[in-house]
Amino acid sequence: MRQKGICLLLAAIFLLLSACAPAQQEGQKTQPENGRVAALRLAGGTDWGAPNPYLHAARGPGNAKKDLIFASLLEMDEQGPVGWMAKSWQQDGNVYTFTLREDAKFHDGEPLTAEDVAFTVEYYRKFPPVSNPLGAGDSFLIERCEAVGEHTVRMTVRQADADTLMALGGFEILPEHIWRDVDDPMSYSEADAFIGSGAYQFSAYNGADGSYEFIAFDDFCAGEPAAEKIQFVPVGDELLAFQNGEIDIASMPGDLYGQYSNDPEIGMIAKENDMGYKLLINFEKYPEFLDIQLRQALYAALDRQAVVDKVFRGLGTVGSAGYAPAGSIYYNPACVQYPYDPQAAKAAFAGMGLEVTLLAANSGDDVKIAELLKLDLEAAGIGVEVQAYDSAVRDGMVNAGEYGFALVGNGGWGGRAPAYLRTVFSDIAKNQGGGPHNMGPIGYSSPAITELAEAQQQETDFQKRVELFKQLQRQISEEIPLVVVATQTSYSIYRKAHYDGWMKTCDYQQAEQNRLSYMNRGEAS
Amino acid sequence: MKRRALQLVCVFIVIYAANFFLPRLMPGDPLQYTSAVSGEDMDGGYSAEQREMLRSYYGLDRPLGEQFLKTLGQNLRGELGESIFYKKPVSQALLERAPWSLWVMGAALAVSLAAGCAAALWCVQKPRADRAAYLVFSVLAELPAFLTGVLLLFFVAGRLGWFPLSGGMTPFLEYTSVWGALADILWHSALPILTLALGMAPGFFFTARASFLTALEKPFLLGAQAKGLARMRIRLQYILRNSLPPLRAKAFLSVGRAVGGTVLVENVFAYPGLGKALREAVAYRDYPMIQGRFLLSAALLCISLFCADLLGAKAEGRELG
Repeated sequence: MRQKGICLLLAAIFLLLSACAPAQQEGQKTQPENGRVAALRLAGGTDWGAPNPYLHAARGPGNAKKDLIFASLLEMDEQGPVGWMAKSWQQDGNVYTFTLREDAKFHDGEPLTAEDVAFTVEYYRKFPPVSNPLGAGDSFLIERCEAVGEHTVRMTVRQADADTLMALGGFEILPEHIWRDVDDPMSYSEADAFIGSGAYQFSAYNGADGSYEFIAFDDFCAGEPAAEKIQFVPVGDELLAFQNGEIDIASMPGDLYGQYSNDPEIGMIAKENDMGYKLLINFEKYPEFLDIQLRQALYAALDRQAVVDKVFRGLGTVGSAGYAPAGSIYYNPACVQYPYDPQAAKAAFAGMGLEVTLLAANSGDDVKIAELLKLDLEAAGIGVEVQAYDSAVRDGMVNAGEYGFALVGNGGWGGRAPAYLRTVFSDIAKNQGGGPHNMGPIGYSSPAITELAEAQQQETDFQKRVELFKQLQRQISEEIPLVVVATQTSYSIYRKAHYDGWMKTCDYQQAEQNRLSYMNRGEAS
Repeated sequence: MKRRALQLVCVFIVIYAANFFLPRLMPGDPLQYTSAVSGEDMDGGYSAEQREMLRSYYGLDRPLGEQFLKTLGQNLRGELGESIFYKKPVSQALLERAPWSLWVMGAALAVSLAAGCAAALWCVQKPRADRAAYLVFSVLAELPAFLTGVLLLFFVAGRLGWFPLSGGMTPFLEYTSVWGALADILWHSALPILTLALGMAPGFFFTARASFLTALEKPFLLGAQAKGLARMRIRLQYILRNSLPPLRAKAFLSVGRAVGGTVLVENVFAYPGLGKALREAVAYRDYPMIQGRFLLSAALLCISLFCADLLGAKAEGRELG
């Protein structure tokens, strides 16, 4: 009897605890009359810093939260640059003139004027923000910035190039009346440090559980916010939270593609070939590979389709030897193809007795891919030792050139103009230590690639630049200074009935991190 | 005890120095780590010029010895520096998180101590129940905390929906009373506490069982039984009371395990706390945050060890006296 009593007591405690659940906020699910969604809930749980230009963490999710509150002059949509706080702009050589919207306001009701923009430029010159398209120190992009009227601002740059317009239009505007007296923005976190002119106002931030809340700014001048509230809530398992209705959009594991793609209630938004893996060769350590035939044999040795099938679960493609992935408007299908040919590879490496080290990160899929590459290379007669370290160590080693072969994976391949071709391949721009994704082949030089990579950067005509990119890819695919392994497509899933406005820009495929995903865009959405 | 206190102070000093130098000697750079983790985009990096400005701002451009003295001075003034990743004072970041972790750790310790002792007390005079409990606790002792956590997450929270999947309290909920807030916190912490407690209870069970079995052989117990005292009274007043010193010591020594366990549990349940902060601080090479976090753990462990020794010495004194 006593044993039964103890069991019953334990069960009672358990049920009592489960009864502690608070009554849910019913209001969250009701539809407001202004056409907005009551709340959009996304996976949070990580402290990405306080959402202002100086306090957010230097990562995409931290930057995106700051972008909801603070607005820039321009924004990107599916086609290209569109006005945000600026209603129009024009370029005359190195001089850019932006005309602001007359009804632009900060969240405290103060008007946003050209003086605020000019102040922001000078403030950023002195105190660079975390996400900083303008550069810092001697390489600060803007030579002079002046307000030439209440709503007109003129910026003169040292040298205009293809990226200048979006750099000038991409920085977040600070309210002068708040920041002019702030001497240390890195430690300024008063309530007015979160007043911007974006579509959403700051409401709440809890660093401990990584939760954020933003509420719609009714006086926003450049469109209509799509939700009354945006909430980032702590989530342990994203998919479980999505299935339980705790969040409205979630990353989808590749294995569940079949299940969700056939569900009419579920919408999917792809990041097409956005995650790419490349194999860097340190030619100073392995000068043998300066021989193009060995690099071709390297490609022939690797069953890259196996990486797509086994690691990406079929969601992706074998990498283009020209680097920019299929699906990008810049992609050149005429790049040289290197099919899997293990016999040819074996013949090429026969008798050489090559032994290499392969550096990889121990996170994500890196080790799995490295092990597959190892099997292929060993089958071709190359001895491989995989060295896996945590990402920070791997980053440091790649940046310092302390590797033989290195596997590097990162996102962002599929969206933006492949300006990264310059930072990876140009002899002038590569290996400047910006991170492993910007590191190119060490000990390999190519005047032809460098010339094309630099030329595209200077070209401001869109079509001519696309053509230059295509020539550059063709040249890279002929010389193959590194091996492009594969690119992965990933998906986010959402409930269409709740909200269907998720979008990708022509520049960026992370729907959850695009400002326009949170705007009511009518037909455009 | 003075000697023991001195030993612990020396241990603390060694840990303090290691906390400062080891992260800085590890490969990696808090400013150079630029979203290159697989799955992350390649934006968000600092330019070389900006990196140098930030290096100077955080004092990372100074010689290591100078940085150490500056940090020591700061710490002696009660400051822990600025977190490079979270971009806020380390003390603030720790204070935001410490109550959550301390609650889960404290509650898990109390629950596991109570459960382990109660089970041992209940079984100690019942051979069949003892065999069953021994088996159950042996299995529990071998289960990794994260596995227990994941199982509870998927079945009890996910499938049955009795408890929330994550977080320390319902986000953005406006409570009508303090009791409502406390109930919500209790509801959210139930599974993290249970996970941690299930991992620690076997330790208490085995310690208590061994102590109780020793107490059973003592002559005073025979006397108590001969007096015809109630079984419960014998268990509580004679067996439990005379077995307390090793259990107290075990409780204080378990603080270290609880500190380690929270890292896993907080990650499984996305529960706010110091464990998650530690993982992030190490991944991002946030030196001041790593130092602050380890400093807190080291202080907690040294204090709990000292308390264990103090109580042990007192008990010993009583016995000798």
